[in-house]
Amino acid sequence: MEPDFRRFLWRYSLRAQLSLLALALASFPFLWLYYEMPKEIVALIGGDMGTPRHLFGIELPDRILGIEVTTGVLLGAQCFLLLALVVVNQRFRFAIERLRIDTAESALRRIRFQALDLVLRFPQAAFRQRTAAETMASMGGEIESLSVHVGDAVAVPAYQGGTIVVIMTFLLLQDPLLAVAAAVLYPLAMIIVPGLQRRVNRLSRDRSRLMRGLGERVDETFRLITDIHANDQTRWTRAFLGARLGEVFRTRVALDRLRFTIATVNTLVQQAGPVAFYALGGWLVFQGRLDIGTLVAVIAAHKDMATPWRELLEWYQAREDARVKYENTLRLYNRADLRPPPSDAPPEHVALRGQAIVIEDVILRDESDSRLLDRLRLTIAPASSTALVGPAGGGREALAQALAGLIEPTGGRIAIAGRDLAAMAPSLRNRRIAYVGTGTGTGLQSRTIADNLAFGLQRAPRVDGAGETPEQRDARRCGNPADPLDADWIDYEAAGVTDAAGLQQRMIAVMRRLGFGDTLFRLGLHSRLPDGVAAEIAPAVIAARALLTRKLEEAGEADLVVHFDPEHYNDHASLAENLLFGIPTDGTFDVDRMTDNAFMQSFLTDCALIEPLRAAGERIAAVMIDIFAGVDPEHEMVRRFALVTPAELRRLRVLAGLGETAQTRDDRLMLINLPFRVVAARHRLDAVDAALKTAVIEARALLVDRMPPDMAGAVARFMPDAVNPAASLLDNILHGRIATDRAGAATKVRRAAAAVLEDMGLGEAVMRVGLAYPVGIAGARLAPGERHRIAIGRALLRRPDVIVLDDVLDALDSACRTTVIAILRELAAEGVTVIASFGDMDHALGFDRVITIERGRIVRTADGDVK
Amino acid sequence: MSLSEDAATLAAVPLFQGVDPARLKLIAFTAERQTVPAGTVLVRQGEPGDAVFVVLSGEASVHVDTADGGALQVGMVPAGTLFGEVALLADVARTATVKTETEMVVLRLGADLFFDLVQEFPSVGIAVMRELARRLDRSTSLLRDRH
Repeated sequence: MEPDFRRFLWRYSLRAQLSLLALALASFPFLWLYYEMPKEIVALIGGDMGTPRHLFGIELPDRILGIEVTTGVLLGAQCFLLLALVVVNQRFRFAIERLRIDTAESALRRIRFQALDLVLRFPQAAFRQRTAAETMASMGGEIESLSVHVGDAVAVPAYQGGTIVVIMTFLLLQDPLLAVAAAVLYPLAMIIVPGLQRRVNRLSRDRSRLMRGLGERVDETFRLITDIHANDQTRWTRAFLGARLGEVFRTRVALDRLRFTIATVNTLVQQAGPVAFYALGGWLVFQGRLDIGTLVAVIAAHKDMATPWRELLEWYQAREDARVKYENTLRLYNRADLRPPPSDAPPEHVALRGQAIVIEDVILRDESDSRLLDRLRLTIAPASSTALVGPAGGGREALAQALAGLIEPTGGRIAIAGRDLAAMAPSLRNRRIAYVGTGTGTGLQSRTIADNLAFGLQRAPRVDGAGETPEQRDARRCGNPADPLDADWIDYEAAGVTDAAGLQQRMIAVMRRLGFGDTLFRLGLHSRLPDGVAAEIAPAVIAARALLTRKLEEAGEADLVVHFDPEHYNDHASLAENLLFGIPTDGTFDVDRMTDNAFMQSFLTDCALIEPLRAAGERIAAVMIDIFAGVDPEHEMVRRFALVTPAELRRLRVLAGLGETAQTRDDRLMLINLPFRVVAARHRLDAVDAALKTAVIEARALLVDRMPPDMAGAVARFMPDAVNPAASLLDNILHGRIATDRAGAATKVRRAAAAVLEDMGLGEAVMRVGLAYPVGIAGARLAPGERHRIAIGRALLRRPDVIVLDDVLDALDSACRTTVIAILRELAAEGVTVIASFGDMDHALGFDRVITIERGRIVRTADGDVK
Repeated sequence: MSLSEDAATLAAVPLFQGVDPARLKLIAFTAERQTVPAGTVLVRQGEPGDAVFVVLSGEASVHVDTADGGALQVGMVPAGTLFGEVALLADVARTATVKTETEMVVLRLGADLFFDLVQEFPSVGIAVMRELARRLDRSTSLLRDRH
């Protein structure tokens, strides 16, 4: 980042600023004419113009283009010109504003990216001192107002300052005395304001510091909420937060008061002006030295000076503010201990496999200067497995992180293949050495399982030579990276495969090995088919349908699944699904508010379904009121079990008391909508009777013909010979619904479907669907053990030369741990250097060497299998 | 089978006598109505309990595993009985195995629903208590008769 705001401004926006200046200068002549015009109009109206008539001092002939120049014609021409000038001036303003906004937003994007880029270069320790909330706060309001000023830096003083100069010149030419009177107050303001401004700056610096502190405290309250309640610390916490708000309050009040003082000085200057004009101008008119038209024009001009003057003053305040904020931001992000900037140099290809790691007198200190590692000497043999054990905080975790180059030793060095690890480019070090941790800073991204597994393989975007897109141009202009995010970033070679299909295969193999295969299968079964896969496995899915039906028939359990049949009503699907004979894919047909769709409303009317639906709705309403009588509409039971929402239940109760005549149009629509939610077999309401079912089936066929083409995509229809993209893989194989009124049906059917898929050799295809499962924020949709498996799978997929497992083995369940240790032994046999740090000595069995580290020193070295 | 019919069946169950008909409909509506073929094990001893059942029609037998690995039939579950509540209320594994003898129709009340109903509607809670008390009384008299 540039060391101060001015340098930042000029370096990155010089061209834009010069353009703004040029635009402002070009606009002034028109501004001048705009001020001249009223004077001439008043002169014409007041009869002071005399003959020959003139316009902007140019004498006019009696006839122009055969039209006699009368007073009326001239007035028309003058007004037209005035209007044209208004338009021209606004065009200038428009062009200036556009450029200004663009400049400001570019600066915002640039500075935000610069700050985030610096965050990526923070050393590990910095993340123990700083919180994301604090960073976000400084990324938000503060930088935003700073960037607005970048757009204003030249435009405002040039345009507004120039406007003042134009107006002052105008005044001087009319009457120097008047001009002096109008201007005399300005220097006064210029003396008072800067002093006040300095105090404002100091306070606004305090304010942003306090707000950041508050953000941090709120963040901490979120993190420690369990402790707060467990220790009954709410009273103290309330007082603590209140006290913080008090500090903010005092600063804000002082700040706003000062700002108002500045505004007052400003207003005083503006409003004292006209007084001078009335007094001095009136006197000059009496004297006959000034005509009344000029005085009116002068007063108008002075009034117009108020805005530029105010804007100039605000600009001055904003500039000081921006300077302070820039310095604050700089202080926050531009630390002295940043990691080296990313380099564009092509990655080196040095094989670290088969190379010993030499740890020479390594000293490692933490922020508080206590020693985590104390002159550690150790050589880790290649193609072996080494366990680092010892008490937590004894130094083994620090050593594990240092071995992955995540923290730099304070003294001594760690070398591999004769090269200092700390000085090695990340594109070599962190691609050949894999690190799996469980602490802060590690975890899953809110993407799919496959994305998370490929996290270590996203190395460079594969760019086709299609030239620069507008998005890329914008990015480059704002100092942002032009790497396209939607390109293929995967380095397939690093994973030992040639293409995406091969990678998926390998992912499945690795995850199966880690005991994740069943989970992948289950997730795949309950996921929708991703676009790419749907076409590929559609024929197999259709074939699986027939096979599953046969299998269930053979077992005498055919009635466990009720298939979708165009000729029959499916009691296990909702009425909406029965009518649409498919699943809505977007909001066009909202099952809860079916009649919101105008087409559907008219279609239902045409099919004479409105009345039966309403009658069914009435019956449903009556049952709901009956069975939930005396239950609070907001009660959990209503939310979970009722066919109506709490709001609907409340309204239905009111209607029940008022009678049918009280129903509004909305009420009637609500009643018509109710039956669409009914699943006949589950709800057993009698509301959807045989007659209504028959009517629905008749309407179903008609609906296909009548559906407007633009809505056809809003329903994914159930087709016997095609997959349904809106349904899960399991539902696609069922092509129907599980008869939930048969005891144990769900389990039996799911098991049978899984067996059919395995028999057909589709197990891997289903797992591929499972790979596309989104894991949720921080992997929340998976169990902790599943998250660990993905983290390990990610490292294995990269085929590293060195693998470091930091505190991972302790966190695994025992089945997975056994598998992982077996995998580690295989890796070591293949030449990989395996290092694992953990606390429980029992896991050390199977490692070639066990090194115990306590208080930063090696206290014991033993051969593993000896135990 | 419709909701009102199920509710009528419930009303005939001694257990639910005195419970408001609207509540019985609520139970019938919120519960899952399931048909169980003859010879199905509905509840297996030792497995965790996640639901209680009300038998609407049909009959099941109750078995208890014996120390020697065999099973001992200890009773029958006729229509109109509630069973499976012990595992839920006492938070223990299923204490016996229930196997259908004929095709059976049951209302299955998931654990959450069962506790919601008991908490929300005192009359349902009292019905469950009455059933438990009746069984305790029966066990006590059995014990008394033995001595």
